[in-house]
Amino acid sequence: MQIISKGLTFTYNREADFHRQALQGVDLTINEGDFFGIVGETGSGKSTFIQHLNGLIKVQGGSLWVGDFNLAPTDKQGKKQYKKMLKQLRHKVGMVFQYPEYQLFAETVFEDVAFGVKNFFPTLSDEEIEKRVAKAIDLVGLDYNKVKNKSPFELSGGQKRRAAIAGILVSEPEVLVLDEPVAGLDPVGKKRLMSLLHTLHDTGIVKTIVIVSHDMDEISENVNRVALFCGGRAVKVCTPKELFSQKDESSSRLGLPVTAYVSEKLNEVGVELSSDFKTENFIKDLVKKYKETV
Amino acid sequence: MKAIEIKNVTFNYENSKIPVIKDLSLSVDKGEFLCILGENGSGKSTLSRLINGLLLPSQGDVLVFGLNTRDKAKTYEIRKSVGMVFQNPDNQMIATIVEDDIAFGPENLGVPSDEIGKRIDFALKSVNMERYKKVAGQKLSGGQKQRIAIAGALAVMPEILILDESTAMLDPLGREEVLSVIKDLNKSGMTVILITHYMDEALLADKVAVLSSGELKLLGTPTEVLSNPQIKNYGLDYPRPYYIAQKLKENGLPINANVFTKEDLAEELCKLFQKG
Repeated sequence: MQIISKGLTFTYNREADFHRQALQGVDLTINEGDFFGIVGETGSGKSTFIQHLNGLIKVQGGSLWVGDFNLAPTDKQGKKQYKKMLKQLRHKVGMVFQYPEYQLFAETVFEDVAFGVKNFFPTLSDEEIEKRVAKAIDLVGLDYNKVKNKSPFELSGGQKRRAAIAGILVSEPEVLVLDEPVAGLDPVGKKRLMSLLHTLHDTGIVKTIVIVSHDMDEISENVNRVALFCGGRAVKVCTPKELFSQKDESSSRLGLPVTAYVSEKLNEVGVELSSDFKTENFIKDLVKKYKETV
Repeated sequence: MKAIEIKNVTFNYENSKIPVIKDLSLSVDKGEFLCILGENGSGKSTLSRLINGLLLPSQGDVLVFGLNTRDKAKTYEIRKSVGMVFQNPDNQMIATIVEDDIAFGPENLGVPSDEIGKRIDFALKSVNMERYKKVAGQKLSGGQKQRIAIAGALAVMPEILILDESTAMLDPLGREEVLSVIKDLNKSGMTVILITHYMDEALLADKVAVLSSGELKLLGTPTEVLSNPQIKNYGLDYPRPYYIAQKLKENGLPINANVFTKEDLAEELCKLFQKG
């Protein structure tokens, strides 16, 4: 499913004196198959935008298509139809909020993950539900038989987050949107979670992944395209390499990944590196460059 | 003088046989900056709560400026001398207006109102937020909210400041704001304990402690600890610049690979290529 946003605007508390325009016309296309990054300062509109993607926020102005779903409510469409559309949409677009483990609520991991299936597919048999839950828990790298009857609160931080993600994967979404997926995890937990997302993406279990992140190293390491949000607009949509090579105010406030920073400094003394800013490629490129000079 | 002495402390929560902290000993000098690293669930937050007496050890003792946290008569004094700032900028605000929020601590302690006014000004100045005295807390950015949380702790005039993953939810600018405030406070004599998952933040400290399964596994200067391959066993990882430098050296680049910041890595590489 391709996501196409054109001139998307949104104002909080539109009717009130203290209204605030969070989106000022977002033009952005996310292709099916993208591992897409969204970056920008706090208050730049990132969260408001992603909440549109599964209809948590209703389109106020402009247009937004997610696959065949037109998210801007039309006059012809009744409330009932719109609601029906939202339900179908939410099963295709999974949303993982910041610190999703805070939303675990059931007594067992099984019940928590099963909530999603029961909600979307109320007619499924118990057997089928169990099959799907087991599959989702297995996908996030947890041992189904070990964790199914545990309280979610007995799991470690990284495991809790995985369980929360399993609760989204269980409805088999095509698009997975994650807001700061690795925030608050230790370095090893971060690595594991990112590699889980890559596995889901590479195997086609989830076709498109969208992550919001403040960590530029994370962005340069993981995404193929990135949008920079600033003042309620997507001011740049490009590859991470392009984003971190251009020098201007909106991107320099973000900070640079280590690789891009070092490349920039080397460039100033006449050494040009051609690699993207992924750490392993950057190292290879530097080694090659060095061998050429000696 | 020792600000904190943790002596053979073991702690388990009620109804649980598994200790969260195991026979841990550690001391912090007055004015020292200690960073605590460790994987999720390693006991870092529990340790911080043992220091200000929110939790009491199951075995062993915790002394804060010589006062034992077990001594109920001293609880008040200990809590006053240990300020805590937590992770989430959105649930540490009590009042709607910044100055009222900062006044909450000293008001609770019965500080006279003209003195409270002075403390608010001092606290806001310490975190570079003087201009926001009358502003509604909800209008602030994450970094600003965390600085107000620090100001709230400072208004009680603590001698020790504990920050429990206080930068985890901030964007890079917000993180920088908060870290620079912490550095300045430490320079002016505040004892600081910073709990974090960011390896680069550990570089700011005098001393780094690594916790795993409730035990103190490593203790040393930031560069000693961050270059120790054992950290990988404890859920941690090398800072990225150090990792890159090590890889380059392994591949035959004659550089000083003992670098921990992107600035130092860039400098080493520029030197190398300019020579050639």
